[in-house]
Amino acid sequence: MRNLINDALKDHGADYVEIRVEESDRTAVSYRGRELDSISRLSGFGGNVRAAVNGGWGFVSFNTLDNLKDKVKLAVLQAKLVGKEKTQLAPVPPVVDEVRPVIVKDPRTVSLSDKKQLVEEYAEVMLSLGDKIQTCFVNYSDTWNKIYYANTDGAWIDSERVYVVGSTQAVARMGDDIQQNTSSVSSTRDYGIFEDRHEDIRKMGEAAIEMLSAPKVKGGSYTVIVDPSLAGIFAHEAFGHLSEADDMAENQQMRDLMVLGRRFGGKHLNILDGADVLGSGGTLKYDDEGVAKKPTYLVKEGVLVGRLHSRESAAKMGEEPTGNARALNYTFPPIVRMTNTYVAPSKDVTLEDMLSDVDEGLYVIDSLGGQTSGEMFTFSAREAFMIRKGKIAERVRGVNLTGNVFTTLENIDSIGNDIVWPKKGGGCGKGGQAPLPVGFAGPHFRIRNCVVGGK
Amino acid sequence: MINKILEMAARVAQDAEVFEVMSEETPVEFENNKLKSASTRSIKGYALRIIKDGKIGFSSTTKPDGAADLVEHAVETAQFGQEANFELPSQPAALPSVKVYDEEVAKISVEQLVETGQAVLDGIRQAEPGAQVAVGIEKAYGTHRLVNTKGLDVESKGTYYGIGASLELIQGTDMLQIWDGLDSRSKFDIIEVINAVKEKAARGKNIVPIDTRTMPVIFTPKGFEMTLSLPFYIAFSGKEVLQGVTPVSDKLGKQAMDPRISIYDDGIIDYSTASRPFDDEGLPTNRMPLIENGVVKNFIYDLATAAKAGAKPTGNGQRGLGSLPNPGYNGMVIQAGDTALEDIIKGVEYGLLVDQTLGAWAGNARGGDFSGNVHYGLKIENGELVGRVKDVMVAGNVFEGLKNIGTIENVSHRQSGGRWIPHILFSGLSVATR
Repeated sequence: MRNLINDALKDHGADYVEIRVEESDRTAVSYRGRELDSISRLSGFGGNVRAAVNGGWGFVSFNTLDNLKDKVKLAVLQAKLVGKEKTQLAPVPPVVDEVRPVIVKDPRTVSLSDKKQLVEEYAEVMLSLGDKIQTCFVNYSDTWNKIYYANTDGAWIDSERVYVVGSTQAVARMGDDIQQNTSSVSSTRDYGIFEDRHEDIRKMGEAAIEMLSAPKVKGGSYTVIVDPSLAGIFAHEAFGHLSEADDMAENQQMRDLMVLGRRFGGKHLNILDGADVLGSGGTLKYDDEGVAKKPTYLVKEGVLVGRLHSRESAAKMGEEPTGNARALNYTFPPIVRMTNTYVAPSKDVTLEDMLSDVDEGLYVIDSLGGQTSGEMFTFSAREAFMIRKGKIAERVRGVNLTGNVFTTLENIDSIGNDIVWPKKGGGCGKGGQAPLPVGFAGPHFRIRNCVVGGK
Repeated sequence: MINKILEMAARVAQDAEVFEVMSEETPVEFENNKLKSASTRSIKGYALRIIKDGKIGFSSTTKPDGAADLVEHAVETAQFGQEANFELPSQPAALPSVKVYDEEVAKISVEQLVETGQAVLDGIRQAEPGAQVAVGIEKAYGTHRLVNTKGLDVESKGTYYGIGASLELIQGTDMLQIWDGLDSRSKFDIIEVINAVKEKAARGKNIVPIDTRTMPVIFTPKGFEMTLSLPFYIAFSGKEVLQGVTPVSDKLGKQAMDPRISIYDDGIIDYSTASRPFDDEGLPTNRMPLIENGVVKNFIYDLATAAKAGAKPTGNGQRGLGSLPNPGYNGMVIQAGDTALEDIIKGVEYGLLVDQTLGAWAGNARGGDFSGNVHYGLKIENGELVGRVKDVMVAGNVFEGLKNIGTIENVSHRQSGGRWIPHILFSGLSVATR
């Protein structure tokens, strides 16, 4: 393979060329209620060539390595059609390495019938909670990937990745009222993450039933305390995406707005990307341009100090590459993405401290998803409770929060000391590439004047 | 290879079906006011479904030499597979003569895509020289072929042409962001896309405050698609209905919405993006009412779901390479009403027109709830659009809202993905701000 790829990388006539070849094997089992919905084995093989000429990019993806040289030619031809300037890529030492996952329990050593059995058990846990549970969904998959990467700077990386994902969802119904709750786990090293989840799943299902009798939240502006899981998604949506420099490098208005040194929040606010978290889908040794991943401060003591880069965005902004160019798979070119993003904890603030002076507010737990436009962002809380007179009070439902990066970060007035990396990973979407595995975490924190949609 | 796979599978299983996908996509991207990249994405792969000892096995591959593994994996999964309670279909007597292939699209060159994309960029930049504009333009063509051991052998060749454009204008810390786009199986006039972005930019510069309260809200076709459509798509899927997890699951033949609401699943509109002569299991597509005059008429089914539900399959089997067929829409048409948009706006004393939302999909879509940030919305005062709102959430329940709507526009506009939607006024939705 290495010879084949290196041979294709010769005599290309471009400023830069890279080739990625990928093989995958995926097993998936899903249940709807007590019934098996599908069980499948998917094999994938494909690759791509990406070329730069005079600052323009050409990209070709395919499912066969036949005539690889012609594919390089086509990518170079497309890049020539596009390029009218100068190719700029931040220099990095070309890496030659072999990357293998450090596995605790390999999903490939577990029989399909055992996986199916566990999926069935989790479905039963939810369905046995009573007739208010209308149905449930359980999805399990494990994917093994082998990726070869080479570029004309001399990089050669041969890596293997494993990814186990298990998700469960309970749907409760009373008349026309339908409520749902979910819980999921993921790991790049351990099938065990999917085992012994009965108790978690039971609690999640019970909460779905409780939601049927919970009132809908009233719309308006609230003091909101977010839990560590939602705090992580906050770091990702509220600030992480805005830090992705590919949207910034050639946009002067944006560069002026996101100038290093700009204050976004109080001295207690620190947001980082690139944490080395065992088992997280966002943990990378190298990104998909062969650049070593390093931890990056985005906000330090409330001030913008860094951003996430590809080799191109780093060169164009005169900054160091950070190893954040990632591709969902061989059918896409790498673009700037997050890895493991988090809000750093404070030293001494507890949840109790934070609650104590809230007369009326919301306590929100985990998220069903969020979206950002750069300036504006939203999250949907998975579960939520009113805070009354300093105490967590009754459950409410339908809590979707929105914020504005230029005011909401300033409105964080208290950050807890209790960071937790959730067992669930996230799937992030950008430029049609979804779901890309990412991790996120944070401590409890409190936001003043947060807008919540509702009745 | 497709016949070889079918032969190999037929030797080890009672029945088998092979689905072949081949496509070539050519996207060209402009970012920050200039050309950025040109790509060619070729995809070729096979999915195999077998019925062995009464059970379903499923596998797929994009390996050029993957036939033997494909069959082996299908056999492996069939040991644990669900009961096959349906038969694979035989060759259909006739297929609808819907047009899904346009030679004009198939022969567009990369150079022409670059030229057209540049024209879209220039058209928008002319009106908004201070803005950052991005344009994506893509053409694609491909074939779907399906063969099975019941003698079915159908093939369809289709084309795709799509243009998306977005604009960003930063003033202070305000980011005005607009996007619009269209797609079709044939070529269309780029002026539609240019004008949509230009008009929204012109109206969006002035920011106005709005109150937290219940008010009339008009959803544009795009606003409807981004904010309200997901609950709808879930609700009429036979798979959801079978399990009783949609608010309309027990309302077949009953009045569930305002009598002015009629919605169709329509796979036979010529050149509409989601149109196709047969579904992904080889059954002919059609035009079928989901809701007619507010009465629930049909749900959509694939073969397996229909068999479980004791319903007839509706030609809505849909799948990618990596999944078994599921119920999926062949396009969606919301029937137009009787009032011009201008007159709908004139009739609103204090309200909101919603075009782009963020995150409204996240939450309890299955129950019909939505709650999203109004990313591009205009305040209406005394029948006039007076300016853009910010830091605003709009929330409600789609099914509650559709029981008692205000007005439907007299035109149903083509949207991306083969959807046709008019502007719709909801008489009272909750709007919240700081």
